[in-house]
Amino acid sequence: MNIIEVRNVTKTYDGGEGLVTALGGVNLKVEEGEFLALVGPSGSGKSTLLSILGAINPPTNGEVIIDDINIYELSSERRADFRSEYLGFVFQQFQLIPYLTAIENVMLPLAITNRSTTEQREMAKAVLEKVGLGNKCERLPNQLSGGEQERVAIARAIVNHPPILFADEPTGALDTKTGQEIMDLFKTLNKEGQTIIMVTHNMDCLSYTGRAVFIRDGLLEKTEEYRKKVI
Amino acid sequence: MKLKDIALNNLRRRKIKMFFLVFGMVFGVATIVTLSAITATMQKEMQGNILEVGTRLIITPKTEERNYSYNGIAIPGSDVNFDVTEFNDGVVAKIQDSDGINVVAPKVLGAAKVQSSKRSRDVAVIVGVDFEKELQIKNYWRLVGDKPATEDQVLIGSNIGMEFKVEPGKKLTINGRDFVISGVIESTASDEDGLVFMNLATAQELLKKPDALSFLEVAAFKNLRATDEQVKAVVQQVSVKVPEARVTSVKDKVEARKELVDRFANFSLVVSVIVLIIGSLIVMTTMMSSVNERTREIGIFRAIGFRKKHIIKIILMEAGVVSVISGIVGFIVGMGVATLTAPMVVGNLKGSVAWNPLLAVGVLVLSTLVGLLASWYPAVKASRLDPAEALRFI
Ligand SMILES: Nc1ncnc2c1ncn2[C@@H]1O[C@H](COP(=O)(O)OP(=O)(O)O)[C@@H](O)[C@H]1O
Ligand SMILES: [Mg+2]
Repeated sequence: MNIIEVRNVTKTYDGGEGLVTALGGVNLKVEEGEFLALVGPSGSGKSTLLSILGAINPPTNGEVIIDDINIYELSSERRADFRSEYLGFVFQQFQLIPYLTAIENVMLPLAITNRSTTEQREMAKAVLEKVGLGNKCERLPNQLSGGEQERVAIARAIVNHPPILFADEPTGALDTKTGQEIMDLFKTLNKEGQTIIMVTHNMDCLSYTGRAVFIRDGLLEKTEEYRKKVI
Repeated sequence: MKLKDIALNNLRRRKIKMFFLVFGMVFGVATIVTLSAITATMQKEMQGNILEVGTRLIITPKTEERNYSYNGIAIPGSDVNFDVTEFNDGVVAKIQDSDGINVVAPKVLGAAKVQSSKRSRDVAVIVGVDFEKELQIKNYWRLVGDKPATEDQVLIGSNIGMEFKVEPGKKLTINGRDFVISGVIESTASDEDGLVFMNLATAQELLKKPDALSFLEVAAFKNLRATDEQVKAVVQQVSVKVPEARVTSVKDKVEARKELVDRFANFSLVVSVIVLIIGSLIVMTTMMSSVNERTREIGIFRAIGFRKKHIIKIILMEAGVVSVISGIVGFIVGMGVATLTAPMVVGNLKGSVAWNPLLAVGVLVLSTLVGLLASWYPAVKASRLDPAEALRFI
């Protein structure tokens, strides 16, 4: 079953120097439980596509259906609720809130639910343990290494048990070894059933993913061969 | 974790920035509190002076000769002569009887030779008074020393004290008779500074004006600022009972003072309004820059599902906490400054600056309102941030 269906999505930005076509007609289906990589050079439209999938960037044309919901037909506030319920984000550069401790950062998505603080704390603690940071809950982001911050970011993205997890260049800022550890973590999560869509330009990451979609100048390339190669 | 925890954590971990915002607001709130507390103190002090005794009237004997004339030609047999220069003692009781009269303070005036161990002057003005009544009316007097308890004690104005180089306890010889100075009246910046006050009967005897009164000072309508009508009624009554009297209401220092106080109140109001406007602008620019600084953070909040109203709430809660703290600290600082400076500004301060709970509540509400209103636009602007845009340059 397809959890995501992208139909003829285009995106044109009105930048300073005229219109920029970031996406020129994208069609894509993602099955539940997949670990999909979006691969492409810088400026090819990966982040744009991810943000459109992530319900924060309305496409110029086309539609995005997630779990039978046409997400850009929702009002912007309902779409916020949708994100809270369905999506987890691991942003480029971790993007932790600097004035919140690791556990508080992880509790962030729960702050707008009506769960009690105790329950929130238990949930956050559990995912932090899962990503291997059970003993560093009370540290501020600047007291953590890059790899640790990435783990906190992942914990924050999955604390709500979202059906879909997005990650934009999660290994971009990490050294090779730490990057591999993070990819292992994603793979583990995927094995537990987590649908993951990850943007990367690092080919080494592809060995961890189930499928890769190549994107160039805002258009997807054929992916069949690659799938066979990996399997 | 609730939204308030996010707000509080942000405040807690950005202490320096918040300190400056709080400092700015405290400064503004304190200024307003100081001004309004001092204004209130001045008003109370003034009201006290007026109301304690009531409206002041002066009753003097009619001295002028009055002729009825027509086109400058005196009408024969028409001169009604009230050539009275002094009342006699009996008049006090008559006036005291009238409606609305509160205190009647009789006085006899005269010149006498005054000597101290250091100086001597041939002519000084002596005022014989009924000290009990006099001090009721002169409730603005501040004494160094005590009021006279015996006939041999006198009160002197501050200039007399300086001129004759005397102080309470020292001797003063007046027309050959020895008196002891019981107290010196602190300067009232009026003629009183140059007078010697003594017991009425003693003065009458000393000035050789037995039973004579030069004029009366009267306070009418206790605890009330009399209307012109009421004053007229009293004047009427007194004129009937004591035909030889002329009554004038005193536009005295109290009037002048009231004008000064009113002007100070207006000045305070203007300054307060300016401070409010500047304060709002400071809060707004600070919150605006804080929002701009937190663009990415707000983008993250939005991306993970925070609604616009959640963002507004977080920012307004921060502003609210800062405003409440500023309101409380500002009130305390303002009252402190008012208490310290009131004696200088008010002068002759008898009471102290009152801690008015209403002012506290008012100021707290005001600072919170200003904080929230001034942060409203930044908060709304923050909530409208496009998360895709906010997260783009990372
Ligand atoms: N908000 C925007 N305004 C204008 N142009 C944009 C905006 N976002 C992206 N673009 C442009 O769209 C293209 C794709 O960008 P992006 O999706 O960030 O690529 P990638 O993530 O693959 O590097 C680029 O040319 C970029 O400059
Ligand atoms: Mg990108």
